[in-house]
Amino acid sequence: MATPDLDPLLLDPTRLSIVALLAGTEWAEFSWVRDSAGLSDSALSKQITNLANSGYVEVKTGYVGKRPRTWLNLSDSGHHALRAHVAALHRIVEQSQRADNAHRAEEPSD
Amino acid sequence: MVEHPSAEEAARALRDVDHHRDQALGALHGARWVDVAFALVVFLYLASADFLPSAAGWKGLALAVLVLGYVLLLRTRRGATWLGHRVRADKSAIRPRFALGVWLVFVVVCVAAAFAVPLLHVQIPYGNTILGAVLAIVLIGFGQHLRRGLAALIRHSRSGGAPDGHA
Repeated sequence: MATPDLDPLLLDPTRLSIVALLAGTEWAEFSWVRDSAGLSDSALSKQITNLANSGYVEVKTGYVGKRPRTWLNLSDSGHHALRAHVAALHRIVEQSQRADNAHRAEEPSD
Repeated sequence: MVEHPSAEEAARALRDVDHHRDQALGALHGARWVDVAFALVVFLYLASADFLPSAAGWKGLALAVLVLGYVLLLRTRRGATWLGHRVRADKSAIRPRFALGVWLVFVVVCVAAAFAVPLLHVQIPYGNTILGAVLAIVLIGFGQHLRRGLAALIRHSRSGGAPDGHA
């Protein structure tokens, strides 16, 4: 089945969860995303690098007091990619439901 | 997930997206010390009416400056982080009708209280101090619960929206 709008990067459940987490925010601290996604620092860092290289996530660093902080936010292209990916997933579910309904409608005539 | 997910995998992914998108609403709270500081400010503001009646002129201004400073700090990443906020929920995802409803309820309650208090004609000694203490205790004890309740209401209000981060 051809699903051209599915984003290859977002087919990975971990990356999809990170992007979905950031979609509900204007910005989030690295530590909040790490805790919410249940990842280690290094695992999240690796995924963020992938997403940032594709332009989906923007990373800003700074200090609050003496503590270094990293803030993440989903870019416009990240929002767009998620919307397209979610729409494609909806289409898959709807196509399956339509096929099921058609199959059930055919059954009584057999 | 495979390159061409099945309907079950797609449905599971959609549920995950919905769940994760709403997680930011569970992190609306800031640091505990901010609640305590605000409770102290509210208590001092109201108690000053009993103990420092001459301070009526500048205490309103001082409160306005504090609230303005708090709002301005919340608008920046560093300021919000300093106040204990690890995330800022996307306000554009909140339906305008819901936001308007919350504001209307708030304004109606304030206006009703402003009209009702003078009509009571009850003089309680140190009434302002007692009111300040009650509000401070409510703020410290139930501030987090109130925010959690508001988050649940927001979640409920947008549960009918599209699960794409821009309901």
